[in-house]
Amino acid sequence: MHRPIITPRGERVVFSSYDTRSCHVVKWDGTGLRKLGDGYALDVWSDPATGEEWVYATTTGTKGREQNKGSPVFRFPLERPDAREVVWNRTQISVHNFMLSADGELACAQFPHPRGGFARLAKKESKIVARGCWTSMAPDNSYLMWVFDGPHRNLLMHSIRDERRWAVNINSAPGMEGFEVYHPRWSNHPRFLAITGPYKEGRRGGNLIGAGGGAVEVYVGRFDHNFEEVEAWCRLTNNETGDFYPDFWVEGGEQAQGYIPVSELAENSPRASWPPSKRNAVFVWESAARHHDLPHETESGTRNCIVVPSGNAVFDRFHSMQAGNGYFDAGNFDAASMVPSHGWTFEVTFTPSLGDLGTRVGCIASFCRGNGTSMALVQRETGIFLQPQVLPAGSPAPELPIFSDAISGRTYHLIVVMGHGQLRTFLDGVPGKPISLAVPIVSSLPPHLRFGDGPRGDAPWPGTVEAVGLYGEPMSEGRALRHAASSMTRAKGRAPLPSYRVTARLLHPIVPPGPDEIGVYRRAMVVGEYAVESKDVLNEEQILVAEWAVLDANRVLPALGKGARREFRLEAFDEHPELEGEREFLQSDSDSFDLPKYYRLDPPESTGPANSSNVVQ
Amino acid sequence: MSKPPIVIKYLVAAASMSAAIGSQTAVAAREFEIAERLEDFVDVPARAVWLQQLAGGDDPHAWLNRHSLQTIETGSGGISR
Repeated sequence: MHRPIITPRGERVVFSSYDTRSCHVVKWDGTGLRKLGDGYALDVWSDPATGEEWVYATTTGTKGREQNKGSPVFRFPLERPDAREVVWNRTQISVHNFMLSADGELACAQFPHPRGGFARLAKKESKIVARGCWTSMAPDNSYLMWVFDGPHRNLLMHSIRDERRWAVNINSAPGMEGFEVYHPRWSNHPRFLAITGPYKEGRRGGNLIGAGGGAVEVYVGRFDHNFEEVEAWCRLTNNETGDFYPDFWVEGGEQAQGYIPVSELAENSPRASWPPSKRNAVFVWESAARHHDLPHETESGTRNCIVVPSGNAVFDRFHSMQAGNGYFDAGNFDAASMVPSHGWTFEVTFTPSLGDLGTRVGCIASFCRGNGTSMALVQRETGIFLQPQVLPAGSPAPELPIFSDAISGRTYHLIVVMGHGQLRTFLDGVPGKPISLAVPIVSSLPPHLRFGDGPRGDAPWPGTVEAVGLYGEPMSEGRALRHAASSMTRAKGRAPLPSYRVTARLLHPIVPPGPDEIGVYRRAMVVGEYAVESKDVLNEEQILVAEWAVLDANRVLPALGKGARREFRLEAFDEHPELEGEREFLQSDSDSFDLPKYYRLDPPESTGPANSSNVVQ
Repeated sequence: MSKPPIVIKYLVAAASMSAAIGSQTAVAAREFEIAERLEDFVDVPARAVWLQQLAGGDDPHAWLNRHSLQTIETGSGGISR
């Protein structure tokens, strides 16, 4: 008797006879035992369209190692075992394990041992992903599979959809004592698997699997949500005889959420929710339109995370920070609450603007104290670098390149993880190589977090920054991927607006307000009325143009006389929700409200004292 | 109210493929405890099947050839069988 498999509805058990090379089925209550025919049963599968249960089987050899190999793979309905059809005959397969995805499109297998991989059955294609044994396929349509490694200790996970790979240790369950384990098989529920172990008998250093032994018990494990580790184990047997070949079935398992590739998360999430987790968050700022509170030991019990613009810094139409020649400082940033030895994680989403940077260095984000910088994320030409205060071990370079081919207008998500003496980055969810640091960790992050410039104000950066998080712990890879997916989803579908390079003549003088005229505001806009001269660009006779006149309590627009000829880059004002509620001064006749209104995108022409009143004719 | 018993049973005997052995509910106390943990672990009805070695022997692969099918079953809020 060999390889029992619980049928998809959990009502029966299909198993094989090793001696007679035949497969059989028996009801869960022990009745209804019947032979299904010749062959070795590999898997059971429920057709999602009809609910019909199928058995996949193969014809194995009769001697030695050939007993564990078969060809072809055929299938038949459980109720019609004579209706056999071949599904795979391109290669031999090893019987441990040929398992199907829920849609029946993919099957994992060894083609044969130790060539672990998967086959696209309809296309008659196979791909080898790792050497090992006991392959297993997630029971859903996530196309996540594993190959059991040679030492019989780790599942080599392989996400077929996005070709991610990682290892999950499975011989660290209580009671395994680090010995080999065996028979790992996914249950019908993507979060659960079954294994056996520990294998202690036999010659140390040899293959202990063959010796079996009375100490071998059945365990079931539960993957964590990210499928990075087995978060809990439960031993199913406790006896003096060996227990082997387990299969586990969980009611409703076919409905359970399985692994979701990062790319799919970003594509399919109907609504971005960022960050997916605020665990150990010290600072979280998503956008000017969405503030986040964090728990805090104050009377209110919460701390609102804000950013404070300085100089010419404004928000863009996605409510992101657009520092221009200014910068943003994180407010209510409580670095003291972080325990340096615990490590930390910095998360940032940014969109470079290459043309405005030229050949100088721009500082995307920096941690600083006074004029000193502890860590900075910078851009030079198309390269993005991290400048840690602590240099990598053995490296003379003060910069760690993140990537070298930044594209203007493309949004990037970066996570920097510091912990366990290593620095690690994730760019758009793709992990970089860990870098060992000479000193275990940046001694402590200084209390100042700045975006869009360095501490000395000499490295303005012209892009935009959003979805910023600082966490007092090193983020796990799985969590980093979820944060990346969430942020990528936020930025999905953003398209550039039509913009117009317009030449126009001012119809009424502009007299910008002084800071003392805008009350409690620190910034204000003026709206001027213009006659369009470049009608080939913008086919309007007259338009209104809104632009910044006061930023950070400084006048940034000179007074302009009637007839002043100006050239500026404009976008439709209504496409800029970040401007709602800003203080506006209309510099026109009151009956001009109906004119088309545009927003001037160019950076302010000057930053002058509040009483500057140069008139441009 | 006591929970219904957890069933760990021999489903099919290796020695005679033609005869299924019915439920065998004599379960060691330690196995009952294990099954209770399984109930907490999964939190919904669950079933497991495996092969149990019937006897040892000199053949290192005896565990492939001489065993019986065993099952265990739990239900949420109690044991379903």
